[in-house]
Amino acid sequence: MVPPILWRCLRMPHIIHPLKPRLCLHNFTTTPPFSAKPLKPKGPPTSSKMNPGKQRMQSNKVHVKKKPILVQKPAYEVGQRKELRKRIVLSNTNAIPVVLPTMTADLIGNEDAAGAMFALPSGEGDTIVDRLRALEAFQTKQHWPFFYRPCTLFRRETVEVGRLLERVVKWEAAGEDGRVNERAILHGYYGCGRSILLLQAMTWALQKEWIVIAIPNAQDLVIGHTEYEFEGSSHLWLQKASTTDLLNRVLKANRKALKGMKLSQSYRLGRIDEVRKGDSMERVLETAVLDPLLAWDAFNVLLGELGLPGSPPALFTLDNLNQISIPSKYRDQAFNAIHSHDLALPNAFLAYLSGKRGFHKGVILAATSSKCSRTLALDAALECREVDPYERLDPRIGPSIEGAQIIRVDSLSKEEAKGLMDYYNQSGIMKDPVDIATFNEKYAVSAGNPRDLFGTCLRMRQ
Amino acid sequence: MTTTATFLQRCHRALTEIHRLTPQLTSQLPGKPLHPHRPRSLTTSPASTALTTSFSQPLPEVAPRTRLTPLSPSYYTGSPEYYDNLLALQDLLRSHEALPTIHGDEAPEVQWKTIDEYRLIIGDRVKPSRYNKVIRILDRLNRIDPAIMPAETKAALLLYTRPRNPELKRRVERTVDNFGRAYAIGRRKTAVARVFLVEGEGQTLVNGLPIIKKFSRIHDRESVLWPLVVTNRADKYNVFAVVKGGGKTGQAEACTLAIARALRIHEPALKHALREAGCITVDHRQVERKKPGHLKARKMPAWVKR
Repeated sequence: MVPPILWRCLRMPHIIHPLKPRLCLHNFTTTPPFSAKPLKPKGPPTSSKMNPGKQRMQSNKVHVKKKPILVQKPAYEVGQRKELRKRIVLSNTNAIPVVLPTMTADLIGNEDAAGAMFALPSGEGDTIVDRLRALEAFQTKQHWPFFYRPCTLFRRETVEVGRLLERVVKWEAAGEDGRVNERAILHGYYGCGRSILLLQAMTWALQKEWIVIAIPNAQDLVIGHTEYEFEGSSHLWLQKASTTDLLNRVLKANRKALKGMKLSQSYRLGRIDEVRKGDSMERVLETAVLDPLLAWDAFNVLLGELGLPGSPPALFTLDNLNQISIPSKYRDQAFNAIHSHDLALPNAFLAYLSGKRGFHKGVILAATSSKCSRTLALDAALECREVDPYERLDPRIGPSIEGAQIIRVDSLSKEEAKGLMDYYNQSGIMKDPVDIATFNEKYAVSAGNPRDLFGTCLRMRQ
Repeated sequence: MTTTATFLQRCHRALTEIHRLTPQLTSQLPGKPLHPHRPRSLTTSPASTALTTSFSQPLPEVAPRTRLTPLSPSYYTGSPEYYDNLLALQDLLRSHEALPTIHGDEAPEVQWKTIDEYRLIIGDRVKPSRYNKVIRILDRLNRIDPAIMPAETKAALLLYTRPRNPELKRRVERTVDNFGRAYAIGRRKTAVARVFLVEGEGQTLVNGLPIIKKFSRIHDRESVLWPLVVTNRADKYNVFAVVKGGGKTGQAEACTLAIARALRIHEPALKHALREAGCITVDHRQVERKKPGHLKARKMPAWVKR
């Protein structure tokens, strides 16, 4: 027990109980205590003629009152806000767990499963979710924190994406020689689930032990936030920091598959480093991740090796394709805006998407974005419409996506919406029972758009 | 029929008995002042007879009346004709208050006499607010279930209705055309929506686009489909709308009105539900114009000294 004597100041005449209200004692005054001005300190007289000697004395000794240097603690540490902004929460223990089948690789291209919900594999020792997280396949604002575990809807479009993977798998199983590259672009309205489709494709590819290379947000490559340099031989602008990040993600997600990949020949990384024939690809990437100067060479080694026979299948994805269809924020020496296609990473992806380069076996997927300024050239190319010769569209955009299959991601069908709404109801985020009237109302108002369906299910009717 | 006659007499006291002050002297029981509410139960028959009927014993002989009393109890209100009329109507309403009523939308359509015509009946200047009081009572009386409406009330209402002229007013009955489409127009702010409503499975096209492309805001979409959602018909009808002018909100709410009107062509019985949902009432507000000398519609420039 702390003696109460410690609470009081020595000057205080009596002990004050901490819980009792203290008596306020004031001397009598007619001035309210807060409005009374403080007394003016007695400074030097205003008239300088009165005592010149004193003034001279003062001018010799100028007292500068030092202000105490206040070190204000910042509200956030450096990078803390970005971390908060980008933090992805994938589970919520307050949500009701829903028993759902797992999204396994044998569901690829299965039409019967369309309209049902599937949980992402997260069993004992299963690291798929962690690997997807390393690839940044999950995004904030996809409402993951509302649910007990990440689950996705198996849609008609999922079947179509699955078909692409299925073809490569079949080709591989048949043991046929020759290259097979499936190229597709996911396109649709806002909030229609393009990024989730990419996530589903990645889930399958990781389960099949493919090499997954993912550019989660193409906007990061063109907004001019990272360093860049010109490479004379290829006439491209390299972004070594971004490439290092990409390789880091690839390494984290595909460690096992990369370990199994042996180099077919020796390569030179940068000026000095060299990797020999027979080394594992994992080692190459581990070296490159430590040194950004080697990153671009290592990335080319990876892509080159994936094009050789005997290499594992690869999945190369890019989200927000629109962002690399507009001029980038980078500038060249003459201060002209650099075309996004002249940046090395987007250029490499588009080479694969348009079929100029190819994996030995692989799937290349791109998803468009709705949060982008007008990309008329890309829209025209996606709609495959005749371009008015007087329209001044970027001539490089059309050929860059030529030959890619365009998968139109549409609104949810009624069965899919029902499955999704039942899942929301079972997870406990939707209070109304899913009867026919509620379903019709929510489906009509959301027009089958998954993002709006979530919004209408979550909020109360106004 | 005696009651009817009584009412008519009371309503038209102002017309029939022009003399405001009767020479007749009231015979009043001493110590029992005339209560202001008392005369309402009285008839136009002389007060003395009414009093005699209410007492079984014959009245004692009283002294003859010594001063003049007005016939109308509303004499001192300033417009006795109006108040007599109003009080008579209120009495009528009070006596029939317990009768079952129907919804105002289903009540038989009547046109009450205009304020000028009413002034002719009363023979006095009647303020619009006083006229509205009368109309409110008439509307309430009109809502009494027509099957059991007393003859007295019917006759009373007939006094205040305008004669119907079929030549003057011919409302076109809107119906579904031979393709099963109901067509209606709705306006809001500066937007005009034309809507074709057909039975279907809940598809909506606005200006040829799916609704999600035209109205990307959930709130707007909810506005457009509100008449269908609130009547639980969201999956029963297909909407084809053409909307012009205004902004997104105006266009969405113009569509609301048009869809509600078109829905009433298909199912007139939904009128109550739609009125409750606020889809029947037209919001005729427009942006107020800017005036010269003002900064905006109402805003005045700041005061400066010189």
